[in-house]
Amino acid sequence: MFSPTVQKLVDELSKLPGIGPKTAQRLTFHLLKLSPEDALPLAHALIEVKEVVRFCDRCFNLTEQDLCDICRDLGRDQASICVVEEPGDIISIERTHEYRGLYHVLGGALSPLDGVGPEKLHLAELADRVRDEETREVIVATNPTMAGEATALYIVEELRHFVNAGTLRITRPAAGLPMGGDLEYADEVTLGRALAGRREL
Amino acid sequence: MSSRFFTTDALVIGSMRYSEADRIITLYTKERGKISAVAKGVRRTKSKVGGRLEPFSLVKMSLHSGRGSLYTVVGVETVRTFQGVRDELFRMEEGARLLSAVRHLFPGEEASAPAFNLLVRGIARLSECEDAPTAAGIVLATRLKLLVLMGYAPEVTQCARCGGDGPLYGYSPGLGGVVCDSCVEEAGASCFALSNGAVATLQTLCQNSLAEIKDLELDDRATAEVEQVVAQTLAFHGH
Repeated sequence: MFSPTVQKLVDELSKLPGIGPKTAQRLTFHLLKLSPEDALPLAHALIEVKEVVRFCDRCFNLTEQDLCDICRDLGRDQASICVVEEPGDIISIERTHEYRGLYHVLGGALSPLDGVGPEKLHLAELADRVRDEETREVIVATNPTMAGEATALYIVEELRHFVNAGTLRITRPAAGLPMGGDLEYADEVTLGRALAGRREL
Repeated sequence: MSSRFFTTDALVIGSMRYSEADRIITLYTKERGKISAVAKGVRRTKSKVGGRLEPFSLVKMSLHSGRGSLYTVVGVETVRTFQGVRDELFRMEEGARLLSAVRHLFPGEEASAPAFNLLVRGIARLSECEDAPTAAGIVLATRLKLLVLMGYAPEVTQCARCGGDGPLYGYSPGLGGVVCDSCVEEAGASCFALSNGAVATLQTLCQNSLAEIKDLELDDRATAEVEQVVAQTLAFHGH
C-alpha cells in the first residue's frame, strides 16, 4: 500500500513495545510531515545511542564508558551489591536515597515457565564479583513476582558457601503495604508477607 | 448484569508483561477451560490485584468478554495462593513443568471440571511436598493423569499396534502406547526403548492417587524414562 521506504519505517516502528501497526502508521505520517531539521535529530539520536551506550563491564548498568558512574564512584560502599533485574530498577532505588552501595544488573529474571535459565542472565558474574570484591552484603532486589522469587532463591543457593563461611549476608527488601494504601484493599499475599516480616516498634 | 460478565474459579497458569503496567494472564478456568485475560494496571505497586495473579494462584475471578478473544479481568478474590510452590526452587521448577503441560495440552475454551480439580489437587500436593524426587513424582503423575483425562491414556499392558502380549520393546507416541519387538519397525522413528521398570512405573503412577505418590519408592532411571513418555506424548498431542 505504501512505498517500500515508508513501509519499511512502519514495519520498524511496529517492532517497538506497545506500538501496533496503526500507531506505527500514525508515527510514520507524523515524521513524514516534519521538516528535516525536526525529524533528523531523532535518527541521529538513535544512531548515537546505539554507538555510544553500552553495558558497564562490572555491573552491566548502562554507561558510555567502560565503567558506569556508580561503579566509578569510590565514595559508595564497595562491600555491598544490590542485585536488580533491569537497569531501570537502579533509577528507582537511587530515587529513595536510602542505598549507597553498588549494583549488579542481571538482565532479566529466571523464568522456569518461559525457559529463561541462569545462563541467559549475569548470574555467574555476580558470584565472581562477590568472591573477587570481598562483598559483605548482597541485597536481592528482584521483582516480587514468581520469576523474581525464583531468581532470589537461585542466588541464595549459588552464594550459600559465602554465607556459611560467615563472609556474606544476603538480604531481600521487605515486602509489604505501599505507603498511602488502604489495609482493606490489600491482597492476601502482600498482607501475609507484610505480617510475616513485621518488625518491633 | 449483562451476560458479557461472568465469574469462575480459575488457576493462573501463565503471565506475561503487556503494555505500560498491564499483564496478560493465562488461566485454566473451571467453567471455560483455558483462556487469556488482560489484567490492567497490575504491575503498579499500588495495584490491589497484582499479588493475586501470580502463577499457581487459585482465584475466584470476574471477567468481561470483549470483542476479541482476550477477556478483561474485572475482579479477583484469592481462594488459595499455594505459596509453598514459590518458596523452594525445586517445587517451582516442577510446577513450571506442570503449568507448561496444561498450556500445551488443552485447546482454547473447553471446560473440564475433572481436569481443573486434578490440576488444583496436583498443585496442592506439590506445595506441601518435602523433597525434589517427591515433587517430580507428583508432577509426573499429574501430567499423566491429565493425559488420561484428555483421552490420551498411554496403552501400557499390551502392544499398541498388534495387541499382542509379546516381549515389549519400547514406546511410540504416535501409536499412543508400548510396542512389541515385532512391531518396532512399523512404529516409526519416534519410537524409543523402554525398560520393564519404566512400564511398571507408568502403571503405578496411573493407578495410584496423588496422595499416595509420596509413599512410593520410585526408581530414578524408570522415572526418567516415564518423563520421556509423558513429554513425547504431550509434544505429539499438544497444541
